[in-house]
Amino acid sequence: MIRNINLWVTDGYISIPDGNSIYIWGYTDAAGKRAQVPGPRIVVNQGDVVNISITNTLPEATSVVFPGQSGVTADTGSGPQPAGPKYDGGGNLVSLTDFADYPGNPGGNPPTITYTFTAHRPGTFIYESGTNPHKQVQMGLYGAIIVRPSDYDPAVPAKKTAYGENTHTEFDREYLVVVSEIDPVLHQAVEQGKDYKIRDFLPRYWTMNGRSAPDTMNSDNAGYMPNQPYGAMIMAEPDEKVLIRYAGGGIENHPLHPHGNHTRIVALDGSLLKNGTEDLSYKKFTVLVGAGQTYDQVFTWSGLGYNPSNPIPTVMPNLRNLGVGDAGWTMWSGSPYLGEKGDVPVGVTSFNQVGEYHFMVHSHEEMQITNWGEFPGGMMTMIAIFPTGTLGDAGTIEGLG
Amino acid sequence: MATNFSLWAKTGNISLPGTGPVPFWGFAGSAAGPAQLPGPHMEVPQNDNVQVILTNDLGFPVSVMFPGQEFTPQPARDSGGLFVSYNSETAPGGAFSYNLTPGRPGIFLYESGTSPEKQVQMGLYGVMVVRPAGFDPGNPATWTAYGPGTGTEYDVEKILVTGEIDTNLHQELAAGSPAAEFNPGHFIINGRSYPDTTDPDSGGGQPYGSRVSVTSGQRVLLRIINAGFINHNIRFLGITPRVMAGDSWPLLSAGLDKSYEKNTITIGSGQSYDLLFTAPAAGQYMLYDRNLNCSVNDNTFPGGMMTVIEVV
Amino acid sequence: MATINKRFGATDGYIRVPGGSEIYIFGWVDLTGIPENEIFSYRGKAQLLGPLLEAKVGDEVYLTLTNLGMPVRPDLDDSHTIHWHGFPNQIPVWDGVPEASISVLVGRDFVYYYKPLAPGTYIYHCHFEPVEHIQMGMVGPLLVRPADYDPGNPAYKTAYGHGTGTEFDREYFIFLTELDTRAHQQIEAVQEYDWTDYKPDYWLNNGRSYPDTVEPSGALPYQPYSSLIRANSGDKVLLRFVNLGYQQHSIEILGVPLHVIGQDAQRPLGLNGENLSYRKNALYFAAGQTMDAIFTAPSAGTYPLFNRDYHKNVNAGTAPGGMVSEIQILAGSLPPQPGPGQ
Repeated sequence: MIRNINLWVTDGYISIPDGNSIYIWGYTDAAGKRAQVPGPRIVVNQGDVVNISITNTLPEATSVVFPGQSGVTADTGSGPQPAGPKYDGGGNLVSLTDFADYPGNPGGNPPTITYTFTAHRPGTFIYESGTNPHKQVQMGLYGAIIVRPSDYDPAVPAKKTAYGENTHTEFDREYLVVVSEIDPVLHQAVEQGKDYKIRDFLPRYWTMNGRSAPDTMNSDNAGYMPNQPYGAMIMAEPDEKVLIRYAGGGIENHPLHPHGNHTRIVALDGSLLKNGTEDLSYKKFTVLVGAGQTYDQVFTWSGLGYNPSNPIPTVMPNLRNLGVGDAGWTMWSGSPYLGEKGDVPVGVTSFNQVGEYHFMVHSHEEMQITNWGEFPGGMMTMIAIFPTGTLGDAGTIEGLG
Repeated sequence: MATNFSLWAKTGNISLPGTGPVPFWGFAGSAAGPAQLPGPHMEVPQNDNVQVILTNDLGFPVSVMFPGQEFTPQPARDSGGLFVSYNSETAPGGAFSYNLTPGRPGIFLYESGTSPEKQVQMGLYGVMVVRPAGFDPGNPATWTAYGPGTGTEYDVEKILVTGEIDTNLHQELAAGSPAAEFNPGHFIINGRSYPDTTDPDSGGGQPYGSRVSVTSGQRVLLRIINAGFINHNIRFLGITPRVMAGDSWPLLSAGLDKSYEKNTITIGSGQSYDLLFTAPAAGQYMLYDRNLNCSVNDNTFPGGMMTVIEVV
Repeated sequence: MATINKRFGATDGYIRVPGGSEIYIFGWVDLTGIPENEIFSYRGKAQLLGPLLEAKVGDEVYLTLTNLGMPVRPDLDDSHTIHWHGFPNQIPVWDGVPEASISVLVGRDFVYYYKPLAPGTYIYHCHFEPVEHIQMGMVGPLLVRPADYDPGNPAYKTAYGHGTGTEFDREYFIFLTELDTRAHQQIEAVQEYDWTDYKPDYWLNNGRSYPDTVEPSGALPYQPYSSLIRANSGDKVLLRFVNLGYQQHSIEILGVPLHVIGQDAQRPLGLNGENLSYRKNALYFAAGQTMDAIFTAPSAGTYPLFNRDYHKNVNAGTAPGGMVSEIQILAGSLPPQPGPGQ
């Protein structure tokens, strides 16, 4: 199939739970809309010919690189050419790849460009700016591409996979978490037209899907975050195979630690960890998500079999002898058992719905789970394990394409 | 068999884009030659007896050590028993002979083990390439990184040594001042920052270019080794190489093929990766540090740890 | 299968860094077997690292956390928890995340229960305001033996079980953390600290900086674990690496490559049992990760261990320091090791 995807490159603001509003550059999917972070998810099928057109409204040139794709072409109006580094008349590199100029640049390139590639391989990939990327990627010009395997069929369990039938990448539910950092001083410098000094880079906020905790745990398309449409809450039922796709959108490496269980890493940068029949996947309890890299992994929580008729072997103290909801809220049900609800102290808001379990997923560089020093915040979310049969049908990730 | 190398530890100056001369300490390959960054490549056959004779033209003790290789270090201690050097020192004005028998092929750093937080940052490091048995530089049919059965046959080999430079720290150490905090603003491959990385090999103190010039269809072995103090994420555009060895331990053996494809490779300090790819269609393919604050010269993009793979 | 009853107190205290400075910490103290009326005397005696928690697969561990409060900061009524980092299929009440279950108030006890399912190198740490409580020192080593572990039988003295190729003669923890002394001083002085300014000035190996790392185990009263590694030539030495700092580190032993046989308390095994163990010269790993590596002790000599991020081998800017330690290989005169790290 041919997929035609149109993106606009523009600016906007995102919201941080401490009340701060951060100026960003980003992609959006319609003319006149504010930019979003991360960029719109692009979901295509293996073998598709993918045309991605961008229209630039920024005050400087911009471009898109597609790491992990091969044979990318670029067309600025005179026909597709192999995409590659661009130099000025003096031979100085001005962009890692063909670019869309800023509107109205006298004698410059057009402000639109179309990139084309064939999605040869299934997997999780990144797209991001290749022009002044030290600034534009930090400002928010990054997003993720999911390529479904050619035999993908969500209605057939054996074909609802990340990498194709018989690759042992079947999943019941899937989630995509793109991580990054924000240095508010650099963002403000761009907003105010001041010098952008990457050497002073000092992030104060850390994000999952463009949001800092606790906003990470809110739903997709939460109304008060119009430019951060993607939640980062992971939800599943016991024994389900949960495909978690991590992508490093920032410029630092982040060690993400899921509570509840190990994950099995099945692919790196969209390359399946298999050689013929030899399986190279492995289990980890903390995955170092490298900048510009992707990690596909399968998580399953089965539990230890406790329920009211097979009770835990310890005695739960009276509530008044326990700390619950120190932050003013809790995800706890008040009960040690899945699907049971108990009491929580008066004055504490419980966001627990049906006695589901919550397991934190967070950067273990712990300052990164604060918002400018205030815990809880930052690069943190939860895996919520719901009682069997309560979560409904598994959706899969949708996007442009 | 025996192979002898002679190194001279000296002061010198390097040039980086946008800076004046930056003083450094480096290894020279001859008594009259300049200190260079990185030091001269040493190429030796596996299981050879290697002797490295270091002459110290600096005003303080230095040393050479061989991290990653199996040898018995000879640490030097002060009167209180503290390490002053991880391997035998060479006194100022003196010379010392270091011996090693490389037991396995691969790419290794040699570097100063004396106050390495200063001396390695100042440039006292280089690369030793250990060739597998049967390797004949005159016969391309024998060119492999790790010998038969390791899947490392190649047509073109390129060594890329990564690192960082804190120019303030260099100025202060060269002036004999106490070391300032390490805060690098310049990022180098083979001792140069982009765009100088793309210039050809040359004489002088920064002899090794990093442009990878190959013909479409050639098998290219990139050997990346991190002499810096921080990790880097080496990103390829348009090419996805296969990782054939980490820290010079090949991933393919008779029993199991653990090699894997990866588009962006995280390399910690002191680590190395051997990457193999077949040169694609003609064109320029960028290679750069996806830690985008290291693909700059000071505050300016492009720069730093970046080069070009040029396929014709 | 044994039942293990342990009691850890959470409190504050002081450690020493080279040069003599005392640094304020939060941390753990072992209260196991201490009569109830003596527990109060352990306030202010936190140690770094916390006491070693050791169990076998199948054991039942009842671990009581007693919040002793902070005598140096009586105004600070923080709760605490114990998070068994990496425990598979945990349930929230014993997972130690206050936002997802409960925490332990000052003056209260809570019993955590664990029945370890898989061998390996784990960590325990407090998860209450973790950026503060972990950096302040509420961390400890945790190791799970395979069910068939038998130190008297070389074929069963293994990290991951008989037949897994993980036999060892001696084992040592290399537990890495960092110390940002400004943060510790601010907290001691009842001041706020912006954790996003985090910038360590000491780098610790088993709670100590070089040269304290190579002092014997009893040398520092509240830093019980030496980092000195000793073995006889030919011994198989198991190193249990832990990173519970907030930085990535690259650890190297000069002259000694390592065979990584475990990571994050799992043998690296493919789905068909492919043995994905691998060899490395420099172990680069991140906060919250553990690695198990084995080497065969080479000929007698001293083999330095250091952080290949050389700028971190300092104490407040002065070298040598930091995570540096020594591997001392003897010709054969060392008696068998009585326990981990000894």
